[in-house]
Amino acid sequence: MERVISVALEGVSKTFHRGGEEVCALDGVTLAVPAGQFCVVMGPSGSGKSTLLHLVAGIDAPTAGRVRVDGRDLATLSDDERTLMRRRRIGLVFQFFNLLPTLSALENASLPLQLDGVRRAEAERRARASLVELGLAERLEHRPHQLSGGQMQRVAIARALVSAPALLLADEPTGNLDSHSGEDVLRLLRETATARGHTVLMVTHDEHAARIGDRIVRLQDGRIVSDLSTARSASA
Amino acid sequence: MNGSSSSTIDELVSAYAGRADITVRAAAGTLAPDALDAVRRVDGVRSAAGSIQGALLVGGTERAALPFIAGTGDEDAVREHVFETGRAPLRSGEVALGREASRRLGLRVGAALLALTPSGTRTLTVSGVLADAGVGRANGGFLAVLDFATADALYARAGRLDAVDVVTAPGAPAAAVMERIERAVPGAIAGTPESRGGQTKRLVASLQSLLQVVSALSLFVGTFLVFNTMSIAVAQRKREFGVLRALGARRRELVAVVAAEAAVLGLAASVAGGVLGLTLAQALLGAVNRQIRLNFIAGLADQLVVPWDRFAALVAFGVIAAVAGALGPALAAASAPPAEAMTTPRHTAVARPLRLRLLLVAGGFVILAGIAVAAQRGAADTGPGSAAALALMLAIAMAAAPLLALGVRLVGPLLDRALGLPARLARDSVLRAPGRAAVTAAALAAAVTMVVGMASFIESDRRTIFGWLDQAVNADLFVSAAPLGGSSAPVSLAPALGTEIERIPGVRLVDRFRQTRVDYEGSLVAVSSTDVNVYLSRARPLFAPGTEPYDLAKIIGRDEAFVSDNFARKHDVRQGGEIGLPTPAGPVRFRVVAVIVDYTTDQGLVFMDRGTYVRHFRDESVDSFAVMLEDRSREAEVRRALEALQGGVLFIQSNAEFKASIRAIVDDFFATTYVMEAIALVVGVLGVANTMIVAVLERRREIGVLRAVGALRRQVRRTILIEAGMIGAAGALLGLAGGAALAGITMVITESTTGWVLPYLYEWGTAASVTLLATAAAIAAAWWPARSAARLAVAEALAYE
Repeated sequence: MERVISVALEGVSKTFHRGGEEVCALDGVTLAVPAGQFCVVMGPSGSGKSTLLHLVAGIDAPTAGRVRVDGRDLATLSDDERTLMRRRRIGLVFQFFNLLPTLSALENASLPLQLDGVRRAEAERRARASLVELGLAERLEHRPHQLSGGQMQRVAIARALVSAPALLLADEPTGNLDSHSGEDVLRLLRETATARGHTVLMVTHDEHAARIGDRIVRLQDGRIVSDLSTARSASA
Repeated sequence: MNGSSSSTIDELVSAYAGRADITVRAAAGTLAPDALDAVRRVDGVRSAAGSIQGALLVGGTERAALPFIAGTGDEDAVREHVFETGRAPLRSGEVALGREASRRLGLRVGAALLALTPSGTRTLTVSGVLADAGVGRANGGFLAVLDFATADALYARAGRLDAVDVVTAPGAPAAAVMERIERAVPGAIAGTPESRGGQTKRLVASLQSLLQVVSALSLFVGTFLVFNTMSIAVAQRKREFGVLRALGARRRELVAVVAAEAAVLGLAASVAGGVLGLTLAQALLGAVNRQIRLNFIAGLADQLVVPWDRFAALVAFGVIAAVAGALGPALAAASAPPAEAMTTPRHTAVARPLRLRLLLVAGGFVILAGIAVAAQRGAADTGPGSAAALALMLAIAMAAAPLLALGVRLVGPLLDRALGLPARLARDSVLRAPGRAAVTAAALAAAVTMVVGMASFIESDRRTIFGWLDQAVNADLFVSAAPLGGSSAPVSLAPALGTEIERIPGVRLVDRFRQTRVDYEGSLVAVSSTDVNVYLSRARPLFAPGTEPYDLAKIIGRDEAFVSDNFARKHDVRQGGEIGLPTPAGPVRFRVVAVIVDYTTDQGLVFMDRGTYVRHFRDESVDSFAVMLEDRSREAEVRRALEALQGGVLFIQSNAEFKASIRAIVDDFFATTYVMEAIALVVGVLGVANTMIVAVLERRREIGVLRAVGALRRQVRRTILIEAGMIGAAGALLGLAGGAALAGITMVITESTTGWVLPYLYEWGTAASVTLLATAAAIAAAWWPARSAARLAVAEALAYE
């Protein structure tokens, strides 16, 4: 099992400038996600949940406050250090899958490893194992446009897991899927997180999806309005 | 620029000929003194003025050959003399100067002008300065007007004339009058004043055609990029068109709006480009005209004549390219269902059948180029050759997409192994939009084709000419009145000067060289004369292939001549054959004893002994003296003695200096092409930058994904740079093949227009360096797009659709 990772936001705000106006996406959010927890962040559109996820991934910077991942303040890391952290310690899953259209499922899934300099054969061996585990043994050489939405999201999950990350960030992973595929994806995320002890931060606006988490944090207008442990957490 | 060179030739001619509608000249040499009266008596001639034309060697700080004209007869009826200050030269020893001559020489009315003439150094007094009108306009005002009696005496012409300009009586048909003049004056050729300009223009044509081919190719590259940019810009707005369609805009309204937008943009850009081109033309005109001056005629103005018709044509070309580039994607966007148009742009690769079709079309253009080259072999002008060059460029354009795709597929795996994932991603990007990459590669290929093709042609030309120069030019020192370079209005020297030179201690032999132009089968060929014995002791003539070696000393005292290989080829003359040349005493037949390799003039050269020349052409003057020394170590001493002759106005050149001046002329000839090649290359490289900016914009989201899953900035940067490098290398490699073909086409054009056979040569050095340069420049041009891709705000890019 990989070493688990914790996430902490301390008084984090994020303001955007749009059309001459200041839009406050996050307003003094403080949140601690202990290592190994499956935390779901919920909220309506524009509540700031995706922004929160981007800040934790280090692909955006807060206007105020600190974001710590595994105890390290992201603001003190260089761009390369943040990138390497994403590559090796964090897995990302997006609503729109974000697979590279010219690469096959196998190549897409092996991308983080290849970026990390792992030899292509080895990278693809590991990616293949991930894809097979996710039920895509028959789709390894397919390009994204030859796959269904559910299959594409499973390839994206395989890509997120291939580097054996400690933290999984999922942004509306079922938002673009039919209910059956969505269910499938949620089950996969939960099972993997439990099996591998990942810390998970999942953003969604879907109440049904939220139930798989250990904890549900609700955001509204950039602020945390509730923070509850779920029955799953209690039973665990 | 070409237009300007031709126009100034016309201006020079019309300013000298004034109001005349006919100009009468001798087929060879000069007209007899009674020619003027004979012309005046011809029915249909209202007035006629004779003239002596030549050049004065002006000493002082600005040593220059100053063209002059001295008129006689009905001068006022034919030519207009308007004076700014002073008056016309009336007395012996007086001279009037054009405004530019007065300015450049710093001489005003009453000043003394020191000039070298065949009768020695003379001091002339400036009687007036001409205004910028009539004769004063000739040569941009850099000219002199002499009193006829003064010119006649200084040049020992005994009344012989260079030209008689005729104003016909009202209603008299010029053609009939010309016929009557030619009957009345034996050995005279009557034509329109422009026909003389036409002759000169034909001489200029070889330079012009070279520039035209190069500029057509530059335009081709530019058009490519306009087309490419517009089509990309419109394709980028597919989503916007989808929204407009969804809101109720009709297809034809959308297409019309896009076409109008493209036309406005194309118009603005073309006008801006045209203005920039004119600025460049003004800068280059000096260099080109300097070349024309040295080789063909005495003087041309460095004034830019704007060819408005061509300017308009170019602007139209730019507008059409912009509209054509915009129309395709606009039609596609307008035809797509709005819902589809509103989705993220879909990348369509060139499908295999289309690739095959493009290759077939390219093959068709190659065949057309081959046919045009075959047609060029028999042509006197450069039309078919230029068409061949254009067909070649179109072939490259058509073949670029399929060949690029093939090349990337073949080399791609190797690159993947060497450069890893960034190479793989770059390759995918090229293959995803091969059309876009191919247009850029084709533009670069066109530029490289020009660079390699012209470099090969120029190197072949240089090696041939310089090799011949080393063999043919062996004298130790050259003495002339103006820098040697083949001016057609040479400042002639008195033959007696040769005797003076021979007396200088250390001088072994002196050769007297004279060259004149005669009309032969409609072209103005050069007749050169030399002391053959002296010539043979200093130079080894190179017999042309197929010519039996012949003892040239045998031609002394006989009506025999040897001819240059280009003369033989153009006029189908063989060793042992005969040619009839016009002389002041009527046509004379000369036996051709040999054909030699010679690059003196592209119009062809007939060589004869000085004795034979003087006897038939009644011309004893000398253009230059070639001096052979007893001992090379005495060169400095002899040179000093030569410099002291004639008041120090003579021009002395050592063998090395003479060869260097010829080399400089040859290099000058090609200098303008370098500028155009550089422009084409820069435009091609800008095209790469343009393409890469678009590629980055289109792939923002993908770049964001790459960064999100762990690509370092330098990995993203490398991906973009590798893609640019692939396009650059593909363009360069395609251009290397194109260059090989263009070199061949240019050499065929040269052979058919000048008669000079240049050995085929491929400039491997230039090919290698331009390949590296184009690839490196393409990579460098992508630096900024690569940097901006690497610095993309990842979160924003992920939200981008």
